[in-house]
Amino acid sequence: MIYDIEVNNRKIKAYRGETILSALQRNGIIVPTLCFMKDLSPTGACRMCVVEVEGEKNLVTACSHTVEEWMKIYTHSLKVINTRKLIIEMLLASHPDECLYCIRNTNCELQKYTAELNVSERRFNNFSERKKNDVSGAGISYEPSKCILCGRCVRVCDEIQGVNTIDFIKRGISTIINPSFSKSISNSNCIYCGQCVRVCPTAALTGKNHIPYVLKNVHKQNTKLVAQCSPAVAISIAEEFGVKAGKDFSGQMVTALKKCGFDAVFDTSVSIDLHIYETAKIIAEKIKNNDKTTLFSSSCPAWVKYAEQSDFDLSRLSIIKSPQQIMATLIKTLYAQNVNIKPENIFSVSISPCLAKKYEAQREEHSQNIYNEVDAVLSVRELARLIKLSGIDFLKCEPAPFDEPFNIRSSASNLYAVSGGEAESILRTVIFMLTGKETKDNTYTKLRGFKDIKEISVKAGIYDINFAVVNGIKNIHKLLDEIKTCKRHYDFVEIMSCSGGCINGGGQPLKTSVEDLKLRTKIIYENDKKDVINKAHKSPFVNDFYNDTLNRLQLVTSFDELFKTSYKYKKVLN
Amino acid sequence: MSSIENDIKINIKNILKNSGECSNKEIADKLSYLKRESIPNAVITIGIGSSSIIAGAVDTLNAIKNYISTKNIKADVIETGNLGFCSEEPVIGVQLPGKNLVLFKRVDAKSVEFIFDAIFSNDIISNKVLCQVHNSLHHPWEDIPYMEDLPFFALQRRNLLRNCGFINPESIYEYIARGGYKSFVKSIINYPCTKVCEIIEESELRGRGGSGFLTGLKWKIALTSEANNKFVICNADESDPGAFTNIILLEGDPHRLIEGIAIASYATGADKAYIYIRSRHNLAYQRLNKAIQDAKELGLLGYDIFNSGVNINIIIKQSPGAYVCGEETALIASLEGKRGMPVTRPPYPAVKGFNGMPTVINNVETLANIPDIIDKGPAWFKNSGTFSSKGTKLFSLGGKVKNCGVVEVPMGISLKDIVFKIGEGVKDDNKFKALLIGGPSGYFVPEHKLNIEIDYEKLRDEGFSIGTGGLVVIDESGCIVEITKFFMEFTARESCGKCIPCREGTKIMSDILHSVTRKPVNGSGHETLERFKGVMQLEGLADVIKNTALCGLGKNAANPLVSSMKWFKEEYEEHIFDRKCYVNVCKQLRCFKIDAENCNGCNICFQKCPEKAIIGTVLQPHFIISNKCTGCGICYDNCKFSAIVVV
Amino acid sequence: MNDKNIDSILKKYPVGKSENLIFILQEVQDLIGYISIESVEKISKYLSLPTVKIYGVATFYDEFRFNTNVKYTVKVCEGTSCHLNKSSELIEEIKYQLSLINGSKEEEQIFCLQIVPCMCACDKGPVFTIENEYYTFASPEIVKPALDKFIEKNGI
Repeated sequence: MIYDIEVNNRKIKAYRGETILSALQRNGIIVPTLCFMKDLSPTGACRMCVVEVEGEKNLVTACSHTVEEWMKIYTHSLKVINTRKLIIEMLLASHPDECLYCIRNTNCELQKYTAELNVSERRFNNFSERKKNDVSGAGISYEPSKCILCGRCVRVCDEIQGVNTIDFIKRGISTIINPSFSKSISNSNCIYCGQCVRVCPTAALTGKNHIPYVLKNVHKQNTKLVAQCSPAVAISIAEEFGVKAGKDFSGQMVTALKKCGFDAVFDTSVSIDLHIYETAKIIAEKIKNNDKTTLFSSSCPAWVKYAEQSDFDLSRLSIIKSPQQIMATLIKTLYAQNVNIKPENIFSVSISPCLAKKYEAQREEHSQNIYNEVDAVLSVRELARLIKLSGIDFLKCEPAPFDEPFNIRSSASNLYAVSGGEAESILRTVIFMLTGKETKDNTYTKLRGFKDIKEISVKAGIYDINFAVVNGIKNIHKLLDEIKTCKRHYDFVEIMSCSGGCINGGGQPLKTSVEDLKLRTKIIYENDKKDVINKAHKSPFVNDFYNDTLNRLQLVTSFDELFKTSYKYKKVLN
Repeated sequence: MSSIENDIKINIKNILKNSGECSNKEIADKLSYLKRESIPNAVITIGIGSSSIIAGAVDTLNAIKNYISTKNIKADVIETGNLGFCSEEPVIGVQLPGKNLVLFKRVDAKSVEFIFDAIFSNDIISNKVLCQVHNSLHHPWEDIPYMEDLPFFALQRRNLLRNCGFINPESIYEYIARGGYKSFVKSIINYPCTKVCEIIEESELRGRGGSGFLTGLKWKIALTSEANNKFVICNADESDPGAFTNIILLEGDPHRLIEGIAIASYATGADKAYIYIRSRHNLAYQRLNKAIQDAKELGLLGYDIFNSGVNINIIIKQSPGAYVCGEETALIASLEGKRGMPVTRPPYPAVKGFNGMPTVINNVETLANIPDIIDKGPAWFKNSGTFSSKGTKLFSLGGKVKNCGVVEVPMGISLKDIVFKIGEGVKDDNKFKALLIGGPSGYFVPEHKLNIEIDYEKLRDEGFSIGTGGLVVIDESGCIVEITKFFMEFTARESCGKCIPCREGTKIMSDILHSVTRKPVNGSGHETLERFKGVMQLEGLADVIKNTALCGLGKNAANPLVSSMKWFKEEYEEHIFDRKCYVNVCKQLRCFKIDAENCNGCNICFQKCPEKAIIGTVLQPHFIISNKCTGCGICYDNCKFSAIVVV
Repeated sequence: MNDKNIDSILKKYPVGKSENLIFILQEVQDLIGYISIESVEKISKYLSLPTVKIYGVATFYDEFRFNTNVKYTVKVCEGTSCHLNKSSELIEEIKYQLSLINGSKEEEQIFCLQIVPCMCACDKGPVFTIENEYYTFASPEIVKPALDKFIEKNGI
């Protein structure tokens, strides 16, 4: 039912049962919010969205009150404005005055409202003691003194990710958001998915900053600065420069990186093709042998950490390294060989949409060998900052191709950026491996989209192939329960911690709407449709690699060094 | 004793159904024994409760037992709850057969012997006697005032408290003998649920927790809400500093509350009721627990009570301790095992509360009123009180008042009467400064407003509120600014931390008050300006907090500040402009001076001063540099020659 | 040893019902004197509740302690009446004296201080107790002797 309500002396349409806030937003009336999160139930904690309703004694919060037909609302009366202003000033009272030195300077919500509400002086002194920073986390840094306790991170961690690393601890003025038993992030069960960083209105939660490490190695003598770029970066990096989502800027990105001082820029997609091929081999073998165990993907490092700290049977986790680490190994072996330098003289940077990749890079399995596989990981946001820092007009960069030898890929590899993409691209190769025939239609819509759990059964000759996709780490238990009760059998399960996949990763631009996600997904699938080489095993690089390159490659230890890794149980407080 | 109990147990239905008039003479006699109308031996009662234990009642009890056994006296010693007259604790009572009960005050272990020596030879130690209690069946003592004649009791109307200090709270039989559980049985047998709600609604009983919502209406809402389960929660989490009305009731007459809860459960259709009580390790918990067990044993609680098909279960849950859990929705969150953070209302608990089910939350005092209303009818209840506020109200009277304790007064009595008649004025005949009503979210009432009557509306119109029932008298030695600061610190600490106005606002206000009650740290002009700026903001802050906070705790957080600024503006001005606390409470504002005549130059103050603000040579009078002095008072405390004076 | 006891507490409550969390925590603290990480892990499994939620709930309330070794409780009243009689000075002094006795170790403490809202002795303030010993009209000066007496009596 629709009815008219009066807002600021004008009539607007409102639906019965919706909140005041939703009616206002639809009608173009902007009311500031801090704790409000779309699609989650309101908590009414920040009180920023208060409006004046005629006949009500106190101001009411627009986010939690439903509209009533009789309502006469004033959203920007003097009383309301002054109230909001004072609320912001209250927050500022205990907030450090260091905007200029803050990573969120110019894109901080608190700063934005401070400006919008014309706060022009500090009226309340800051008597609070500064809380200790936590920089222990491999992917996430936490600065509690900048926290305004809106609780968005807590709700994302609980209601969306289901990981439950942080919660409100203590009460009153001592309230703080912390992991269990106030342990540091590195000792917590944080999986570094980074969704909390994305929703944090201030710089309380930020991705670990790797830019300084990179800068130290720009134009350094005897050191090659090398980058690998994940496929989910090229489609979103331009958004940081004001371009609407849904365009592929990989060419410009390569040029920009070169201008930043990188000696070589490679495409992680190339190692994704290898990853597809190696994983498909295992699955095809399994199916042929009628082996009814399930292989769980291991390319999402957040999921890997989640599995390692739960009671999950780690032997079911795919032992194939993630594409980032395969590429890093190739860089420090094959590339080092090609340009004839020692691996330790290569500074290998991975550019990724993910904060957990920072964690993955420093896992002992990947860092305590003869060489560090990846030396630094930059998120999409950090890349944009690096480009701006280097004085490069990104949008005016002439597109350039990735550098040899890691520049040829199949379009299947790019599907890794979206949820279901890994399963789909592996499926294409598995079918080929089982039947020896190429399929005509390579689109598996059942694996696409934003559903929590997706599954598919495909007949390939005499074999049945069953794949499942878990979209968002929260849904893993649903699937595990199904497997446990033997309701379903899957040959392979893909798991992406972030809903939607890497396009929605913790390292992506902060303000990513559902609309943006759809556009990013669209461009990936469009590119795939256009491409002729749309299966990993058809990629010339892959063929070349197994027929020729591998024989030439001087690996320090063995073939396993390139592709295999191991996992072990980690004791944390869940 | 035990045979009496057995008889009552067997005849329980008859006793309770026939509205107390017992046809069986044998049982009637026994009941009259329990009522102590006719006693074969002397009965000694001693109030054992939180307030008397601190006063040493346990030692007194031991001394009494000792006296009786060594002197071989036939007497029953009965532990009762407290009378509520805290300043006269420990109170003991002695009732000799055929004689009125006499109460003695401040009976410590040492005085037991001579009091007893005297009374058992029919003599009374006059300086230890409190009063005698009137009973037409007994002979009065001569020259001993009656309870009603004492100023402390004269203006009280003790309905809820009438058993407190007289009956054994751990004996259900004594409660039954005095008419207990009659109302409950009458309700479940004679009235449908709606009728009970109607009776309570008709009585116009209003919630004693502070908001004053009509209890009967609340019950009706819960009763008419459709749901599989309904709950009654008794809020006994009294965590207001300086309020102890509930504890006297819980320790002194627990069955009254149990009966009230049972009736409330029946009336709202709830089969489960929770009592949410502050601490598990105290007497109130033990006595309530015993009361519930005993009631169950007599079939007054449990399944199919008296074959009526009514099931009622009462469970005691202990609050883990947070002031904010006095707020309804926070209390529910706490019972559900969550952080006690309030949630936005509506929906109200009566519609959607504990576990999403309709839940009636009433406070102890409200529920304790129920049995009498059912028994004597709404008209009786409406007899006392004012036009819009009926019945009686409990207050705990404390602070600098002569008679301290819990009092029950009819609505409509003036605050002045409570303080100056019941309380007999300010302790040590000091000058009255203010009355604090309602604890840390309450108000300061100045002397010229004391004529105000206790009435929800009248208090509200004057900008006050009844609150939880704490009355604290502040005399001329108290500093209003400092007390306000104390409350703001309290609220900042006890805020749940959820909404910004309450969490940050109270902190800022206490910070500002803090800056007002201390000397400038570095004396810079800038700091003075900041301080002024802060003070200018106080009212605006208070207004925004009141307008926007999520729950009642936040909305009322600024009350003490607002009322103190309104009525005691001059004290603020003294602190701000003169930088003086004329009652010398704000230590950090004190200024010291060395009296050269008394100073012999011992040099101790010079050595102890942490700010190096004292100069001087040994054996010569020293001198304090006032700019450097922070007013810590260490020199003052350490001077053996009283040479350092506060100016 | 502790583990078994905690299991026996848990058994009294239905599996997965988080509404009993606070009561379980209370029983655990009664049993072992504080809330240990191990017990929280057990409760977490039993109630299917993340440990951080349990920690969040436990830290919200005054009752729960996380330091391992608290033998005796000192309670001091912070009611308004006691405050008027300068209980804040008393509290400062008790805090200071306890810090001397307890030393710097956070986890191991002989005494813990509990500030309570009202002890129903408003006319005798300020009031404090050491376990079951009451001190009324207490001035800061009597704190040290009282503690010394208690320590001597209990042979600490």
